[in-house]
Amino acid sequence: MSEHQSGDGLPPAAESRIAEIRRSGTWGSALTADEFTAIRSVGFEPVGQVLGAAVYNIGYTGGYACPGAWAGYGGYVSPYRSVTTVSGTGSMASFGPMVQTLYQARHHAIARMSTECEELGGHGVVGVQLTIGAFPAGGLEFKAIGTAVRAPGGVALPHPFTSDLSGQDFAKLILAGWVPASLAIGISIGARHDDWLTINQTRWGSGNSEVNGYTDLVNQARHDARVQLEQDVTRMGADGVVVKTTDMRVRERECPMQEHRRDHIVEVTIIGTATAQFTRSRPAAREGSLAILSLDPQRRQAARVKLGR
Amino acid sequence: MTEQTSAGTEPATTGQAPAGQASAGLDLQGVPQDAMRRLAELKPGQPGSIFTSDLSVNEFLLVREAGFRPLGLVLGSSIYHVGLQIGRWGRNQELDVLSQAMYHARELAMTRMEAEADALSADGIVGVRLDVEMKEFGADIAEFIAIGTAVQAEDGAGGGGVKDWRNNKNLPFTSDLSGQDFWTLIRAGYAPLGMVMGSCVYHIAHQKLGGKLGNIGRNVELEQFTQALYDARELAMSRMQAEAEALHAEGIVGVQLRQHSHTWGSHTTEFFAIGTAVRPLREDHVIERPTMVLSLDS
Repeated sequence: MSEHQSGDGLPPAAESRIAEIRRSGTWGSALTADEFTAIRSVGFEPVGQVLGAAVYNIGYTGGYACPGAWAGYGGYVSPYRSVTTVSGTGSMASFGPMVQTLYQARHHAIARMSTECEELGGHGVVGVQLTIGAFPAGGLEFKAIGTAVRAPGGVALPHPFTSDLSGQDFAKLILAGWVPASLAIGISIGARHDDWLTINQTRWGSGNSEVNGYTDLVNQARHDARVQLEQDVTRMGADGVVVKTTDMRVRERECPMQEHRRDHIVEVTIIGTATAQFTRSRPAAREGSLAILSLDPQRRQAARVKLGR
Repeated sequence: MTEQTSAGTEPATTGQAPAGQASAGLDLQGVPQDAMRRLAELKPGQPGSIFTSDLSVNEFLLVREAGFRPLGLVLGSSIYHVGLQIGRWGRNQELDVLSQAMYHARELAMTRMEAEADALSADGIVGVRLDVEMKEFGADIAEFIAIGTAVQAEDGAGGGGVKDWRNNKNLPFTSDLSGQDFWTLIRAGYAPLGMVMGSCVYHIAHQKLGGKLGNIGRNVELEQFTQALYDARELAMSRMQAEAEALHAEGIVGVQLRQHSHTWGSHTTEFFAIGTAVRPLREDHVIERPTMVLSLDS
């Protein structure tokens, strides 16, 4: 039996798993022992592992024209400086529809994960891992997995909080008076035609120089992604965002408008956790961090190796 | 939310006491409930300044504790085409065209990042990452990127009474120290001035054929290579020293010496020394004694 799944409705298999958890009271999670202890130590309880997934077919991306080149007469004329376009303006020429789809797919996966969390009685999800991969039967699979936690006696939230922080990081923030509100995502795709100046600067014999075209492309795409991220956070009403990953991928393609020329396309994805500051109704017994020197040589060795670059 | 069970009726799968009586020493009365109340009050679309930051959770909390408020993520990048220079086969020499390129590209990235921080009226930039990445732009093209978080000092930062955190070039200070190192530095009465770096791209001489044959089966020092290593490192470190002197620093901390060949092959490498120049905030430095602990976890 196939029911039409849309929005936050959960597939039947997920519904029955959650019903089983509620019935038996036994939950599973992907937390390590340390993470579990950290979460418990700040008064939260894990309620179960939650998953949200969506498989999408990316059929229509936009970006079929090249906005930065004019067709030259006989192919010999090319513009000296072309223009970067980014998807933030929503124009078709720069993959606006593709970015919309990438957002939608991620939000869909996160929404389903949050629905599972709500049904388990949780207040939010920690340790969210967002992955994209090729689905074996075709399409792109967007997945969000995390552990739902609950604050006993806390007020019900309109929608659960989500965060990609580990259990220990979550505990540290809570102790310091910050609570994660939601995952925040900024995505942008920028495209730029390789103009004459760029080609001249990138020849093997052209010496040391900054490549203005590519620098402009990369900076504009990143700037647009940051703007999108900030808009996302402001929409939520949070106080700030702590960025975890900034991913940039570059590819080139044959220019659809001009023969023997290439375009470069840059996709920037920024993911972080939006946080809000809260005040304690009762003041803390001790403020501030403690400087410690561990007497355990292996632990210090491990810390040195991790911090050392 | 009719489904939500209260703590009392739920089976005690965890066997723990209710949240209020958490581990000894941490007063957590009502903390999770306070946090949830704050989240329930979030109103979408509220105007006002939000901060963005690239800091890890540790860095974020320790930088705040040191008295600095994050303003925003700042970034400077440059896609640079590095010119061609070939060293003479049998000679140890610095490849100055390539050294110039590395300097220029990094300077472009750092300057742009500092300009963004200046526009935010920041006092400094912490947690700076300066990286070189090869993206799919072409063979000799690399991206030089500097990312950090711009911060503003609050009144009590550094023990209070510090009027100006900027360096003598009137630019926000930059520091690549981790959150823990930054916190320790500030508490010890020092302030960062800026990141200082020295770079040297060096061509290492190839061994002569006779030399190579003579070394077969022998345990012997390869003097030319040793000499090359010393020269290149000295050049890189003295350039870093010179930058620190220009900032009138007392010293350089957190120095890393890195060596990469990038795409130039095995006889051409870049020696790169980077650190943070510091100055004292006060004449007297009281560095607090840390508590000794023996951890029980693995």
